[in-house]
Amino acid sequence: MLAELGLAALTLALAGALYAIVACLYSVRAGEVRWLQSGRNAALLTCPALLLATGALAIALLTEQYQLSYVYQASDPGTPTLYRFTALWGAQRGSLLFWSLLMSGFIAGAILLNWRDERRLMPFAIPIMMASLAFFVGLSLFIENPFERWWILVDMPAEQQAVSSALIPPRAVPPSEASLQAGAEGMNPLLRHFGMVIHPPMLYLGFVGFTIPFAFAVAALASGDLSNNWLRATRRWSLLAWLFLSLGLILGGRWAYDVLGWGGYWGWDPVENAAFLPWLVGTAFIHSVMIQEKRGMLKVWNMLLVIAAFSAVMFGTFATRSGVIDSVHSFARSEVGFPMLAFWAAMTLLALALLAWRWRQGALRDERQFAALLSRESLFVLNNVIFIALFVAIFWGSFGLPITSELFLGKEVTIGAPTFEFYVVPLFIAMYILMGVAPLAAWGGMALSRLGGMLRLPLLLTALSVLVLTIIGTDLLVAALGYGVVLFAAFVALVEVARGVAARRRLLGENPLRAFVALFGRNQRRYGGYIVHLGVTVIGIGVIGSTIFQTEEQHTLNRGETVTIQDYSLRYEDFLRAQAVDGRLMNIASLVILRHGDEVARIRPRIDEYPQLPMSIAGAHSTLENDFYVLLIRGDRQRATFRIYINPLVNLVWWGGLLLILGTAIAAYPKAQR
Amino acid sequence: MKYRSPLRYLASLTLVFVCAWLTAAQASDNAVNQVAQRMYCPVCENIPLDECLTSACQEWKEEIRSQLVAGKSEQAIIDSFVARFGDHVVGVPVDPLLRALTVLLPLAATALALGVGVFTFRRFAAGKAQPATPAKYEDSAAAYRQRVEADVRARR
Amino acid sequence: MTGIERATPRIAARWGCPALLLGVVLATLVLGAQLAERNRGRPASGPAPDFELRLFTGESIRLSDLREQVVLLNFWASWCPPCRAEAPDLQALHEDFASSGLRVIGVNMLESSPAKAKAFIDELGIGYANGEDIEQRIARLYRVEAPPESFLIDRRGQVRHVYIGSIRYAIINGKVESLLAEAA
Repeated sequence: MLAELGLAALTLALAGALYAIVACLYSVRAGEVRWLQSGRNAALLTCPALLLATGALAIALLTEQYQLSYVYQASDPGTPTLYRFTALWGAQRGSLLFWSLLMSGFIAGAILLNWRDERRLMPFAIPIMMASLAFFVGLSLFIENPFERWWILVDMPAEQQAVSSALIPPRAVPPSEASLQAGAEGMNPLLRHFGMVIHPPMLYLGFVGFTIPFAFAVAALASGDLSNNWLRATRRWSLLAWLFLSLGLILGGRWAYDVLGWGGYWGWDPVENAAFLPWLVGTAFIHSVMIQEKRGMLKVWNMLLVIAAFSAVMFGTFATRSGVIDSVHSFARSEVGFPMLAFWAAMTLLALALLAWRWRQGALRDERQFAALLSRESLFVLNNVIFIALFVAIFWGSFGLPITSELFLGKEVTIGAPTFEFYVVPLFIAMYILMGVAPLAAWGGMALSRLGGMLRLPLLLTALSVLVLTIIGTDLLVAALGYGVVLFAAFVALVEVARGVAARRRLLGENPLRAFVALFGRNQRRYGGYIVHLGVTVIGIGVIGSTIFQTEEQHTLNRGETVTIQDYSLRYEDFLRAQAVDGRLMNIASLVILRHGDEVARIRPRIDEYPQLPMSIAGAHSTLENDFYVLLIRGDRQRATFRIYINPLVNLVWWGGLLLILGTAIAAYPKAQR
Repeated sequence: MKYRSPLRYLASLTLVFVCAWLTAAQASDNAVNQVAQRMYCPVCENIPLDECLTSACQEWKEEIRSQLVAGKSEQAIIDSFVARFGDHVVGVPVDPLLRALTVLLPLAATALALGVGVFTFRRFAAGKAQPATPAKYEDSAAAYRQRVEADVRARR
Repeated sequence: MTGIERATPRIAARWGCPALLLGVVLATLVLGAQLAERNRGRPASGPAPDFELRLFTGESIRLSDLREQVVLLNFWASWCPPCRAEAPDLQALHEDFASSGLRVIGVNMLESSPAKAKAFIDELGIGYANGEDIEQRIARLYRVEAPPESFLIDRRGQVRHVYIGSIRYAIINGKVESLLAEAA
């Protein structure tokens, strides 16, 4: 029953989306607003329809209806309830449906909240959003249908009897419950982690979120309303998408750190990079859009960035979901490759063609000129140069080069961390410096001496902290300088906030706390932005600490033996094998961590043996100063081999991430309408 | 026959220890990982070899160990793997053309992006000499005051 | 400045950016399409990609020279337990059907050293042809992800069945017999 319900709901969603496209475009031609209203209603209908479809799949997963081949593929009788639910996005078909649901939710929000103010853009924005949605719903219906069921064709020879089909084939009977339960494949072990519960939804929200700015930008181009209306409509949506994408990336890092077992959180894996690329363009956009708002410049460029962000999302989706790029977290090979590529190209070319058309018309002419080389806008342009360079380099390393090499040279290559670090590190250094200078520069231009004056205090603080760091024993000058570069941006942000508070106190006589709160309330974007910058600094400190100063050793210990690394000691206490409820065999080592001779923690790194692959789950003792992170490599009751990492300051990466999220939330939080 | 010279016994024991020590010194897990860090898992792509737990990787690590014991240098070992399995076992391609492509294109792209930026500035600064609004040097303290005063007005 | 000199940069300025963007999109499209085509999955049907394999015994064999025979192409590695499990069954197939026209070919992939592959062959008493897949060329042609995988190719050089994971004599022998019964 659930399968039929799901199929019906999916079909309804597709029909609704297609009708909305036609009705909205017809409303332009007919000039009648009721067609637009009808189209809007159809567009809004897709959200409940997809909710119904996703709900049906979720219930099928929770109630173990293994006749649905998706349930059969993504779970088994041993799967715990929580993971039964997260199996919804654990494999290709379910995650495509879930993706469509999130997209329709975002779209419904964008239509409802912007309906009154942006009526002129709606006849074009709704069709663009609905075309994207219809594409993904179509994929779910026709290529990767999550509601396919197993059937036994009684007339066929034994080995061709079992088929998976959405519709009931003639002369077919459902397979027996017992055979289904016995055959169920179960969830990919890598996904059985708490991080997987929320990392994919956040990432998907970030991805689908970029549909909204894209749709409004294209609508602006199509309708000819090239005022700042589309920016106003999409500013918060792009911040929101950026927020979710950031959150998704941070949670993904955390998941990798906990589950993938290599002592790191970012591996420059193509799938990670596919998520990082839209983030880079998005970051460039949320900065350069301010130039357009404040100065009416760079209109073409901002359009390009919005198009590029959506395009990057779609290309990344193509690359990771079609099996073109192999990676830890890519999906299995699938037939969705060609349709996705075609969709990517169609949307990108449509948007670019519209942009070129309006550009030729001269409708996107800048309202002002760059007045001075040293101005906020010129530094923001430099910021864009850096982000675009990062984008190109990372795109080339993760997709361009491997694809070119395989196609033209017949060679498979792996582009690993060293290559990426080679070009990314200098660009990040430039980014941090700019992050410090740009917020101080004034719109329109300013004298160098004035900028120098404003930089004096942050620079002094930076120099002081570098000095302190070298004295208290950061023996690597590179690291001290790295900390300096990163801290500089933070000092600028802090000094700016302090000056704002001081100005309010002086002029309004407010107490510091009130002044502080009011400062953020009055100018959310500016001061929220400072918090984001602080967060990025804290992340930077964590990254520098945990990469430059990481210690990594492998030791084989007899039971009862102790090994000492820096001021930690590790004693191998015990080893046990146990079977978990889901049938996997766990090899657990029990270890005692001592610091300066005192016991500080007991950890139990383990290896889980799944039929597909063994997985190493780290044990870690975490403090703000560092993580003592241990992986079990192999072992038995007598001897065991451990890989031991000391990751200094790694927790700052997560804390910085939280700060970044907080800052973005402040900047994006809707102001009360007055 | 049963009698064994204690000296011989001691000598053989020493020999065993020295051998064990030598192999251990030359091919400790850390030494193997040192090499493996620069390589990638053959079956599960994009996972560094030292972090990978599959049997293929264990096998490769043992091969690295035996080559280390045979006295091969880190680079020689990696080269031998590249020769047999191709460029995708390392994180930076060995093939000169590929290596050049890896490095040069992003650099060229960065230079191009910077060039476009500079070109934009120059066009704006020199080409159309008259700015639409005259540049005004914003006094930042005054800017703060203005902003705060605007706030105060808004509150009234 | 003459008109032509002025016109060239103007054309470049007017059309340079759109042309560049279009070029980037089209290039990405072509590359992506090619790659998607190549990665659609293992060749489960259609003509079997041709290859040449240097055997451990020294000589080489080429798939296209084996027309009119049924070929069971098996990708394996000595470190992979399922490969070890299936080897006796493959050997039995070889012994039972070689005379009626079955060629079992073992392609050794991702082996850390050829010595280990040879030891595996000796240990399990494998009599069918075996060779090392240098640079994983053949494995790539057949889109093999991890050993063991096997491809059953008919007398006309068409892939008829793909087996992922270990194969069993009892499961595959009927298939082999029916392919052997087909005309070339």
